[in-house]
Amino acid sequence: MRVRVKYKKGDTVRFLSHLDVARNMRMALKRAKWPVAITRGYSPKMRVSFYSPLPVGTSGEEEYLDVTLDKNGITDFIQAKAKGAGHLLSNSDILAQLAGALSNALPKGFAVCELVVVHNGQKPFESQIQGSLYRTEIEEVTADTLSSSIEAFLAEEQVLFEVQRPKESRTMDLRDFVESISLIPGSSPATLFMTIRHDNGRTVRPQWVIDSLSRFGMDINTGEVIVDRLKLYFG
Amino acid sequence: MPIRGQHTITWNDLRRHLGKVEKPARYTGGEINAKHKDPQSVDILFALAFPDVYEVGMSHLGSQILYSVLNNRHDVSCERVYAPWHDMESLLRERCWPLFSIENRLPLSSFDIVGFSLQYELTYSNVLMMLDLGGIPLRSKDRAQDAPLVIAGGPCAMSAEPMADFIDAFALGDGEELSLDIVDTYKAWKGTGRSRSDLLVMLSLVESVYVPSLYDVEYNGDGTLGRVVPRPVKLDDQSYQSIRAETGNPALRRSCFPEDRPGWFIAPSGVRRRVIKSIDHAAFIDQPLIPLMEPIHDRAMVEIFRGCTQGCRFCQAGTIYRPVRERAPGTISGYARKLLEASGYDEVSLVSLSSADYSHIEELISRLSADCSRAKISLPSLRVDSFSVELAKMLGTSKTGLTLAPEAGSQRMRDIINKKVTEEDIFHAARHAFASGFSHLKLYFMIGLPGEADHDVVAISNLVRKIRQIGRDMKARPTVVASVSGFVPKPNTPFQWEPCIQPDELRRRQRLLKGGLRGPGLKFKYHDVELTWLEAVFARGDRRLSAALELAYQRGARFDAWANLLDIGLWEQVFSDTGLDPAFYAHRERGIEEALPWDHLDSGVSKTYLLLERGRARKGATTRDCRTGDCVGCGVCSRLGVEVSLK
Repeated sequence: MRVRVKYKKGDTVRFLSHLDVARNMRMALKRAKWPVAITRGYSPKMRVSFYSPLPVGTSGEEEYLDVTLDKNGITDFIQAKAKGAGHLLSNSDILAQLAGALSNALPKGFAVCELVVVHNGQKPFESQIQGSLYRTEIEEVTADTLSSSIEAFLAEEQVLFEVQRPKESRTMDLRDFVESISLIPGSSPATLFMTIRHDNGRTVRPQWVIDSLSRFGMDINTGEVIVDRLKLYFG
Repeated sequence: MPIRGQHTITWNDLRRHLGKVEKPARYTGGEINAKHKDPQSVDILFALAFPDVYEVGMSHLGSQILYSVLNNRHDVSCERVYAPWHDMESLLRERCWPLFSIENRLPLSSFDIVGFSLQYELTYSNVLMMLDLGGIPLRSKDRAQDAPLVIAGGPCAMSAEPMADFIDAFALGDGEELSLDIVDTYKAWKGTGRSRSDLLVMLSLVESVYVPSLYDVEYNGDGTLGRVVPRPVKLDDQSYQSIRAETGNPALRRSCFPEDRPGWFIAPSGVRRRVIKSIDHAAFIDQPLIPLMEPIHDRAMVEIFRGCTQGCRFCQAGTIYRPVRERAPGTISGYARKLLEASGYDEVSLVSLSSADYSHIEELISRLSADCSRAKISLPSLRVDSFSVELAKMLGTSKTGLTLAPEAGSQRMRDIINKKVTEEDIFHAARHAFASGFSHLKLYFMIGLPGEADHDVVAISNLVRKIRQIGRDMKARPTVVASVSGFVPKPNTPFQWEPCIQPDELRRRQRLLKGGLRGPGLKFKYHDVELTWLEAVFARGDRRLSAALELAYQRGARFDAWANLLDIGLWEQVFSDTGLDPAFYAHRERGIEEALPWDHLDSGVSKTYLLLERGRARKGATTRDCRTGDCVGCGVCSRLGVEVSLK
């Protein structure tokens, strides 16, 4: 059985890297005594999948991970919980038990939003993700000073951006991924909402879009940009 | 001066600015089992300060123990603080933020007590950085009445004269009870309105607390140390009467408040290390701190025994943690199970100075395997013998790699350092390792040991090559890594009088090895000569080095233990500008009669015994382990009133 966990990476844990998030989730699943299936082989690992990683500094309201449960383990888990409850458990009872246990085991700042069972035969989840909605706040900048550079960005056909990676750098067309940017008029700090496309796991970061605005007359001190992912869109 | 308990740095400040620094999660806390107490609800605010980065500090078991011990007290709130990385230091300076604690983000200066853990000499410059960024005057004498009490413990406290001007009081030995005694003394002082110097006097009366400012240091004409003597302190009438009355120990009262000098206080002439009698149930952390960011040792840790009496003559830990005190196997496996459940870790490390020496190691491992199914078990420090290899095989934590420490290449050198393994033991262990499927052997060695000749150095590469040959003969496709560090003579060891070899000579001996350790299946790793040199200067330094330390800090010395960050030119210039000769500290052989800067700090092991061991080293005679044989007469048990405790 595969369970999809919708969870929140909250404000106070925004500075964790994706690898840290994954480590905390695995440890929380162990503390919660979830009957997670273990991979066979040389170094057994929990069968857990994470999607659409968030960068350090970005929070996420609705993030996802899939957990494959062990057949025998889940039976034991159900029996133990049924014993406690004094009656047989329905599917939704089981999910509620799992959600409750994980909720209690997570570090502060994380929360479980929803659990659903993943049925077989679906498209890979990563490729179902079509887009992300981000909220971006830029300190010490007002909406009025920002609006013209955003308009200029949106007017372009192509905005090439060099993404620096430790080993190599690659060039991406930011404009191609940005579906829309809407600026809250009069906001200070400037607040804008960006919808950014995902293409089979490929996507761009709002921070890069903000960085690219320097080409449109807007130099922004990096690090003073606060990004929250509010939602993922599915196709 | 920030108001106590005031949050000068808000979360909003952090979320706005931390995006600029590397690994910002170093500063945001949120660990599972972190204690966030209301500063107003406690009597004592204690900052546990670790002078290295977060992920190093979070892997330190001793700090976890003290955090737990202190926070178990309802009247104490213990918060943590780590050394900020360069980028964070810049951010703190740019924003005019004080260095702040992880839990409540309180400025360091708002704590009652700031306690540093001194694990390594090359973290001293970070201590100064943390004090400075925390808004605390660097030097003890410059601290005002309301400044925090700055204390320090850990192995370096046993010989920390270079830090004496910066630390108000050192805590020597096991911290579980001692830290609470210090807190109690502070608490008794806090409400009275008495002076800061009264507090220091009161602390000097606590067993195993060393208050360096109460001692004068005299030097001889040739620059060597003359004596360290308590300096009589005139107390005002009221302080004299009450502190004297509070001194419970009659002998201490007589010696520290001499009848022929009413009104005067004289600190104890020596300070003896604190030892807890049993660790069986002491020091257990039932609510381990689990960092959200990966620490360098990302696993549960259970201490299986404290102390080691193998008696390796280069090893400081082998002296300053004596005697051996074991925990019962049942206690350990119970703790391990609880820790794994509470943490979600899938590995538990059985921590000690030499884990294969634990009396019931096999029973313990089979018990743990039964109790903690699926969890991996690791032994951090194995012996060089077949038994240890067998243990590693049983554990299966690592399937390919194994680390062993023969320490020296020739039998002659191993006898000198009292590493009681023969070449045949080593080969036997290697054969066993290759037969068990380990193909990657890492071997630790030291060069620059006392009495070492070139052929002893070359013996390292010969030994390593023979081990590779054993692996090849067994068709194990071996990789043998020789990790070779420069020997630094340490206080409280039989080698404390020996010179550390010169950097150029150390480089030459490294080169002697290079040729022999080249080739397929061989790897040669060695430490930076500069690190060895600076460590050797500070390890046996005296108070005069504080001038160099302060100047080096002001000129930008930070994280000296990080080889790529150590600026050796800066240090050389600093020694020259302060008129201090590093060679005097690092490369000079001490005379037997010479007073040593740590003579007044008593580890429990007698100087006579260390001298005896030195003599035996020179004759190449080995000394047995007192755990299994007769008492070797080191003096620890009788002097500290403890005994070896095997389970």
